[in-house]
Amino acid sequence: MAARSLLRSIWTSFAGLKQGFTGTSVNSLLRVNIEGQIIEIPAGPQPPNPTAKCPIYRWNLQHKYNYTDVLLLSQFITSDGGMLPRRITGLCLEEHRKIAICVQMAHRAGLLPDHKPKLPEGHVPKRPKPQLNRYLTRWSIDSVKPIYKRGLKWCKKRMDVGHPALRNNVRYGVKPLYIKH
Amino acid sequence: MSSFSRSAQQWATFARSWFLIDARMQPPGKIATMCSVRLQGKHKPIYHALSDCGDHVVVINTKHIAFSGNKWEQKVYSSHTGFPGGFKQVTAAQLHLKDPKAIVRLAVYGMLPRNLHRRTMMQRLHIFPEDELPDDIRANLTEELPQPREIPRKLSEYTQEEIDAFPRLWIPYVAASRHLLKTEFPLTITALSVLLPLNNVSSGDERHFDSCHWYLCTTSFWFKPKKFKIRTPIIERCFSIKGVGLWDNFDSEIKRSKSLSAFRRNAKIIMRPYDIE
Repeated sequence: MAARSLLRSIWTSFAGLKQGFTGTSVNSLLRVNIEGQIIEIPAGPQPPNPTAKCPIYRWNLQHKYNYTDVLLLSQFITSDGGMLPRRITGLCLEEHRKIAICVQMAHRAGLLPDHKPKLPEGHVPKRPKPQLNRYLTRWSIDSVKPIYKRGLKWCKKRMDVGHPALRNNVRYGVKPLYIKH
Repeated sequence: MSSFSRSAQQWATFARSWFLIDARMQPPGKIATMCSVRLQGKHKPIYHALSDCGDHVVVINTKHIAFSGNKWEQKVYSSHTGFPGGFKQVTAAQLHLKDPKAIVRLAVYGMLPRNLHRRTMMQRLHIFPEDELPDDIRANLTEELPQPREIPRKLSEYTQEEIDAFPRLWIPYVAASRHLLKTEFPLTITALSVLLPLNNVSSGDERHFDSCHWYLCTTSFWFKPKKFKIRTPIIERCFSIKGVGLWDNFDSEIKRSKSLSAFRRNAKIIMRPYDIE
C-alpha cells in the first residue's frame, strides 16, 4: 500500500442560516469552500489480517493482551482515562468490553498515571487517600465490603482476582489461571 | 567444593546464611512462601526437621507490598484479646496503615509448621518496612533472592521510541468509512446540517454542482409527524462529500431509502452535523 496521505480540510467562508429563513434559493445559501492539503506520512507496519473488522482481530491479538499491555490500551482511551466509543474505534463488542476491563484494572494498578481527569485549580482533597499498591482489581475500591466471616472449606467466600472475561487468554505456563483466591 | 578441606566443606554445608528479599510491589503471600521455605531449611538437601538447619531471612520494603484483587478491602485479620467483647476484626488496609510489618509477619507465621520451632524461626525472620537496614544485619547478608512477581511497567516508564515503535491499531476516519472504500485511501466525509426553507423545495432530487463539491438536497426523506396526517418533506441534511469514483450508487441509495435513518444505515458512514457560522 502506498504511503498514507492525510486530507485536511479548511473551512473558508459560508453564510449563517437561521430558522424560518425564506425566499432565497439553495445555491446562495450553501457557499462553502473547502481546501485540502495532502500530507505524506510514512506507511507503518501492516496488520497481518487486514480483512477483519475489529482492530484486535486485524492484528491477531485476540486472547493475547492483559492489563499490563499499556501501549495497546492507551490507544483506546482519552486523555482523561475514559474509553473511546466503540463506533469510533471500530472494536467488536466483546473486545471493547475486554479492553474496558483491562483499562480499569490498569488504572487501579497505577499503570496510567498521566491519564487522570483534570481537577479544578487549587483543589485540595479533604482526606489524604492511603497509597496502597494493588493489581488485577476487579471491583471498584469503595464498592467492596470486608469479608468478616470467610466460612469453612466447603463454603468458603473467596476473593475475586482478575476478570472472567480474560479467562481465555493464552497461557504459556502449565499453571491454571485462578479467578478466585 | 570438593577441592576444599573437610572443615571448609563442613562449614559451607551447615552454616546459617542470610537471605534478602525485596517486597516492593510483590504479593505478600508469595513473599511469605519463599521466607517459610528458607526459614525451615527446606531449600537444603541436608534438611531434617530436628536438625535446626533454617536460615535467616530479611524482608525489606514491606510498606510497598501489593495485594491482587480487592484484598486490601476484603481480607480481614481477626484477633481476640481474651477478654469478653474483645473480638477485633480489621481489614488488611487498616492493619497495614497501623503496622506495615504485620501483614508479612502474619503470613509467614501461618505458613510455618505448627510446632515449637515456629517461634525460633520467626525470631530468625527480620522485617523492615522501608529500605533502611541496621549495619550489623547488612553485614551479614549473603544472597538476594529474585522477586516472585514481574513488576509491570507504567506508561510513563516507556521511552518515546518504544511508544512510536508500537503500531497504531486503528485510524479514525478510515475506520469509519471502511465499508464503502475499495482502497484504504483516506476520505474525509463532512456533513452539513442545514435547515432549509420548505417552500423552495422542488419535487425531484436536486444535485447542485459547485466546483469540486456535490451538495445533495433530496426530498426522498419523508417525515410523518404524529400530529398532522399530511406527510411533509423535511430537508435537513446536505452532504458534502469529497472523493472520486467511490459513490457510484449514491443516487440510487438516496432514492431507495425511505428515511434519513435508513439512508444512514445503508451508507454505513458516520455523518456528523457541523455548526455553520
